[in-house]
Order: sequence, then structure tokens, then C-alpha cells
Amino acid sequence: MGLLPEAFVQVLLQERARLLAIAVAITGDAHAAEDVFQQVVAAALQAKAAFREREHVLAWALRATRHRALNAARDRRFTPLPAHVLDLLEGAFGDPAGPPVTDHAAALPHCLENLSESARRLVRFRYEEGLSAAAISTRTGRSTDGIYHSLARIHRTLRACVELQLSRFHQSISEEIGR
Amino acid sequence: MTLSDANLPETDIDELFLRYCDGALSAHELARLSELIEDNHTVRSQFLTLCIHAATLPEHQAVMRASTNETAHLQLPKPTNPRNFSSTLWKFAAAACLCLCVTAPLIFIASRGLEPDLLLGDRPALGSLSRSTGLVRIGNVPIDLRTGTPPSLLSGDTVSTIGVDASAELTLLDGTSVLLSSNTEAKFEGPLGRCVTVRHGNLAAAAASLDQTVPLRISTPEANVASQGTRLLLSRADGKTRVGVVEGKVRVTDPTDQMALEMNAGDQAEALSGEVRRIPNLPIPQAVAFRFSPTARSGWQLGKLSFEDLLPGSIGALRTIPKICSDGLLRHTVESENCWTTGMFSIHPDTWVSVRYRIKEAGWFEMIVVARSHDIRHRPGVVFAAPPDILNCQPGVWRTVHYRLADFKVVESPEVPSPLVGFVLGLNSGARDVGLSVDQVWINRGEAPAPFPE
Repeated sequence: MGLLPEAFVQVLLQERARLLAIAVAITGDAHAAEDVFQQVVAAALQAKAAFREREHVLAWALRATRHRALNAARDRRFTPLPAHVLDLLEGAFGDPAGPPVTDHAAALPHCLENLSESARRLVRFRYEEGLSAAAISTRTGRSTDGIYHSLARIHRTLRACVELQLSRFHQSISEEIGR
Repeated sequence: MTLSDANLPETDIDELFLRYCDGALSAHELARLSELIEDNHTVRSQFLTLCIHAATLPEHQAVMRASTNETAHLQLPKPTNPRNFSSTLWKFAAAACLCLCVTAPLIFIASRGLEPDLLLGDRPALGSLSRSTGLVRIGNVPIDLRTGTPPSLLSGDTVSTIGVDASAELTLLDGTSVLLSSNTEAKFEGPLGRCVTVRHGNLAAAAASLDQTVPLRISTPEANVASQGTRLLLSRADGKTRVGVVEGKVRVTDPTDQMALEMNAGDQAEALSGEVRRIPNLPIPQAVAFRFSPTARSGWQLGKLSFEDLLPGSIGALRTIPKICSDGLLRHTVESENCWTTGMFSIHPDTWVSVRYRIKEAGWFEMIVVARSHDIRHRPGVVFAAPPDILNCQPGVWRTVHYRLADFKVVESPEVPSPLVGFVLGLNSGARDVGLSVDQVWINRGEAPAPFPE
């Protein structure tokens, strides 16, 4: 007997960050990635009889996300990374021992709060409004290169913060187990 | 920056990722980035992390900004450049107003004497849900007014109307009436509930006038709206907030730059992040027509442009796309933009709705018109559904149907106020994709349906 719709939709929602991330790697755009995710959920609902296990759903969803993201990239006239590089990324995202995507995504809001007001404004332009660096440059009157530098610094700060959060979390778990 | 050095600093990988997402890498640079991801485990790991950031930041940022806006009125403005005296003065005045927004309701309550039963737990009661249709939730609790007394609205409560046929009318303690139309989520705070945060959807408010210092404040991620003794309409979706003033005066402030726009009765404004602008105040038409082309979606927000097997003279159609709706159901949908504040067309007894469509597989679909009362003192949120004979359609053939709107079924509405204004048009085939495409939709008034206006 196949999985119930509730079960595989739950898997897709749990793995949403992972699927969105692979779609971003291919489309370069978070909003396009969200559209791809919606398509994948819809397609999963139509293909429900085929799913037997949770791992099956995840493997199917990764592949479906990749195909749909490639279509979206083509529609946007965006050139994605070559197929063999996408294979590597897909493998890394699908690997249970790979990056802790869900933990990482969960730690991000706290780190976002610690950013300065001006940094948050740039993040909003870039990720909430989906503006390119050139468009942000027009909006703010700064150079495009300057915007890239600032956004790169923001990403480095966020990454360091998330890693710190995760290491503290793992340390507290170890201490808990040690007791 | 060049890509000649394989040991690129961490920040340079970040920059490369950003340029990659913008499509700003040359073919050579893209090939080099590919090599780095392939050969260098650290680069690959960093690239994966960047993808996670880019994928999840829009949501985190939007949530954070919405919660920041909820508390923005409690914060004093930051010190400004002393040379900009007028700006400083304005911000000082704004700070004074904000403080009064917080303290005046307390003074108001103290002067009236707060009854003990208005305090439930540690959250003060703000009012109650007086009417509802469809699925309405306060917090996570579904509300059914038919099976109990109207529930109290407490400070901090979020009210959600789930589905196009859902609406909720709330009466606050000061007499302010707030109506939430279909698919809306709003949080009520402040001692009198006069600070409302709209996450998405449509709201109509008739704000009671307390005194000049206690405005009804409505916040969205794009705008802070302050009104006093006014009636207004507000919609929020897709990073855009629209405000229409029916009566009185309203101030719309952009939360980013603190630019303010004063609006009077009849004015319409739109707030995008960083910008608040007036939009034309046009009379609501009695007839409208939509057609689609490679460059024009005619303002329809949901649907995919399609150009296959069109009729002569047609240059584009809109095909349904799957959408997970707020009620959790999948529907294959085409839908117009939400014209809650401006109105799309006025509805009369002789209003006709016409649509030219094609399906690829036998199956059903439904057409709905979502309408509100022209006068927002009467309850809005009427949903009309097309009569059942729209199901009699033949696959693969373009077909035109005309319906008198008066023959549509009224969904989930015990009363139909008049006159009405249509603000959303949509067609959907539910969970099953029957390949529904539409290439012309038009509304007209008369004894008989009119042909599509060329």
C-alpha cells in the first residue's frame, strides 16, 4: 500500500528547505524556487500511488525539483551550472550525512535579527523583493560592486553566526547526554 | 575579481554565488566556478550553505519584518541629522503620536473603568467576533458562531479567514468595526485593539473616533496606516499594500523611509517596499474585458500564458496552474488580481459574465466572482459560483459561455448587500488538471450578453 497523501505532503514540507535550496542552485532565484516547490507538491499529489516509503518520496522530490527548476531556469533565460556539478550538489543535498539543511535554516532567523539595520535592508531588497545587485544599486545609489561586497559580507556573518549556534546546540546536547 | 586563484577567500565565493544568481557571470567564470565546486569540498559546502540562505531568507525576512512592524509603534525614532530640522521635527511629532497611541487607550480605559470580565488571563479583551461566514480561526481554534456565544477577541489574537467564502466581522470595544474578507490573516493588539497587523488579505475598517490622538493603526510589511473616525479598505498580497479611503482622512507611512502620504476620501494609494504612491482614483466600471497576449496578462495574477491551438484572432490564453490554497486544498487555478480597494466592476441585476475557454480533458471546473458591498458599512464577502451547466463542456474545443450574474449561486452568505462590487474573478478545476485555458473574459450590462469588445 502506498503512503497516504498526508504522509508524503508532510515529508515534502519537512524537506522544504532542502528542496528550495536545490531549486535556488539551479534557478538562482528564491521566488522561482518557491514556484518550483509548489509544482513539485502538486505533482506529488497526482503521483501519490507510486510512493511506498519516505525515502522514495524524498528521492523523487529531489529529482522532480531538479527537472522543474531546469525548466524554470530556461523560462528565465538563466544559465545554470553544468549537469555534472548539479549531480554533485543534488547528491550532497540528498545525503543524510550531508549539510544539516533543516537545522541551518532554523538557526537563520536568530542570526538575521543580529544584523544591523542597513544590512537587513539589503537582505530585504535582495531576498524579500528579489532584486538583483544592479537593481539594488539603482534603489540605493551605491555601486553594483559595492552591493555585491556588502551582501557577501552579510552572508559570511550569517554563516559564522549559524555555525556558532549549531555548535552551541550540539555542545549542549553532548553535555546533556554526558549527564 | 578574477577566478585565477583556486584558493579564493571565503567572501569571494559568496560574491561569485551572488553574481551567479544574477546571471552576471561570463561563460569562463561559470566554468571556473563549476570547477571549484567540483574540486574543492570547502567551496562546495559553502555553495550549499549559500543556497540554503538564499532559499530561506525571503521567508525569514518577511516574518521578521512583520513582527518588527508590530512593535514599531513602541519604538522612538533614531536620532537624525541635525541639519535636517524639518525631518527631526516630523519624527519628534511622530514619536509623540506613537506614545499617545500607546498611552491614550490606557487613559481612555481608566476613565471609563475597565470591567473585570474584560481581562481574561493576562491579556485584555479587545472586543468580539460578531459575524462570520466560512472557516474562521482565532489563533488555531476554528470558530462557529452557530454553536455558541460570540468568542472574545484578546490582545495578541490572530484572526484568519480561510477560503474565498470566509469572512469575519469584529467589533472592538470602542465601537470600531473591522471586517476581514476572504483569505485574510490579521493580528489585533493594544488595549483597545486599535493596532492591527495585516499579514495578507483584505480588510475593511470603520474606525470609531475617540479623539485626535488615538488613531486606528493598521500595519503591513510595506505600510503603516493611521486613521481616525474614517472608513477605509486595505489589501495586502505579493509584497504590495493598497489602501482606499472611503470617508475621512488617512495617513499612510512607509516603514522604511518614514515618508508619509496624506489621503482623503476617494483617494487610492499603493505601498511597495521603500515607496508609497498614489494610484488613479477611477470610477468603478460597469463593463470590463480581459484578453491575453505574449506581453499582457491583463493584470491576472495566477495562470500561465499559453499560445497553443488558439482561435484565429486570439494571441494568447491563460492556462490554470496548481496552487495550494489557504484551506490546504490543491486547485488548478487562473485568477485575476485582487481589486479589493479599487473594485473591478460594479454588479447590477443585468450584469453578464462571459468567458471563452477550452479544456483538454473531460471534467468539471468552476467559475467564481468574489464581491464586496459598495458601501463597506454593510458586510462584504459575497462569493458567486457559476451555474452547474458550465460543466457541459467538450474537450479540445474553444467554447464561449454567457451567464447572468443574477443566475450564479451565492456561496456561504446569508444576505446579499446591494449594490455590490466584484473584486476577484477566478476559474479552477479543483485538484484535477483538466487543461483549462481561457483567452477572453468580459463583463457587460444589458438585456443580453454583448460580444467581446474589440
